[in-house]
Amino acid sequence: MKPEDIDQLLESGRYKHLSEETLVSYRDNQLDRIRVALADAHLRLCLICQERLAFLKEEAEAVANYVITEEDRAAIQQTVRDLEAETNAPGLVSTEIQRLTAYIRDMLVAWSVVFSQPAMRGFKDGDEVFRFENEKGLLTVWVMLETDASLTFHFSSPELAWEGAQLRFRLGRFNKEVTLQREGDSRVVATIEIPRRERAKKMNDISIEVLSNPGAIGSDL
Amino acid sequence: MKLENRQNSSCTDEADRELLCRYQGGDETAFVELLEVHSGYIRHWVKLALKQAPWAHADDLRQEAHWGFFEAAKKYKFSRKGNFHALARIRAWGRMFDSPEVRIVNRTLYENHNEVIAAQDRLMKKLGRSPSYQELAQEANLSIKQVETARKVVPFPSALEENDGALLLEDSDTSQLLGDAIALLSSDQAEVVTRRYAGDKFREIAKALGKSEDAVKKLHERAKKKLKGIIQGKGNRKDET
Repeated sequence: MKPEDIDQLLESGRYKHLSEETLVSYRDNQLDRIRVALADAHLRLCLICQERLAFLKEEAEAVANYVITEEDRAAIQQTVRDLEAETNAPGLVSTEIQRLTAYIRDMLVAWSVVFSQPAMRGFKDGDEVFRFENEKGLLTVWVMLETDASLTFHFSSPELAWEGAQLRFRLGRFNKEVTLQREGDSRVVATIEIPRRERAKKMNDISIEVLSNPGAIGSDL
Repeated sequence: MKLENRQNSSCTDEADRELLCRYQGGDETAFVELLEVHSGYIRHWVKLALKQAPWAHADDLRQEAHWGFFEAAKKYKFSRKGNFHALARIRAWGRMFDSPEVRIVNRTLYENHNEVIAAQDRLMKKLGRSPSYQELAQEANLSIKQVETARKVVPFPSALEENDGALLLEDSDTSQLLGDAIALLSSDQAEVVTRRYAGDKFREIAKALGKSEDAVKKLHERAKKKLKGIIQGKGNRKDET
């Protein structure tokens, strides 16, 4: 915050709605005297925040000393079964990382079929040497042999929840970690360029690991 | 999937994050635990939804709420501000209200509710006080009864938290900084600043503090300078003057 914003902050701050974090602290008497005064200044003005506070109080009262019932447990079990059935994944509650890992694994299987012969032969510069797209179109990988004889891997997916997922890529001795990043509003992408001199002789010596990074993976809400 | 024999339904932000970390790292049982500790809340949310859509079936709504909860757990980003509980509530509520049997009737109520929120926001700034129902109705182009219904029928505060840019939420960091800075002022200065913040007139503050209006104005000016200094990191000593 810039110092010159002080006047504006003191002038207009009370018109800003309180965050839920502040309201919960207010409800739980965890704010100091100053912050209570600042929160009160807004609450006196704002019917909405008065209602939100009332709502949070009511919510806290409703769950105070709540004991989980057998009915709750049954409903939770049912939900887990439904989720598993819906996503068609064994033992659902499969995470984004697990899903992405499964698709990458499929891609590597396809790669191993195409490059069952260790060396890459018969391609010209500028050719697309490999393309993989999974059934649902959730992961597309294509590899270009560039005009300078370098090799470029392109990863693309409409699954925005994978933004931030890190891939540890290895082809022969070439190693690189890349992060799936948002491109526009509808895709996450990553690109890996392998210079000619670092290209592997054995094309089937490849691995891609999806790094478990729960702090990074996930979409903006 | 194993259900642990947990008895109490209570959640804290820290405990939620620990479970989410485990879940997003691949531990599926953590999701069930997370759902268990929120089961009391989910039951409460379903109860509220049923008040608005009494024709709906509680089990159906609970399943919808669970789905919303699942989406929240899947999408929660640790770098994000805001606690998981609030996000889970928004998602659960969203799923319940997007379910076909509830959606048809309540769309208008939601729209009215949003109108009322926007109207109250404008009036709060314009009037400098809490508006009456009549003023709200006039500003929102609704009848008083519609305003009352919209506010009672949709008491849920999710709209604000969706951060759609329509309404201005405080920035927690800025609020924290301001609170910390005011705490470093002398007690008189802090009193003047917080009262001015609340919209009190200098005359009223002077009367409350038993000082002259000029003295209060000077206190306020000095306090603002001090606040600027503190926020710039130049001053951090308690001013006892």
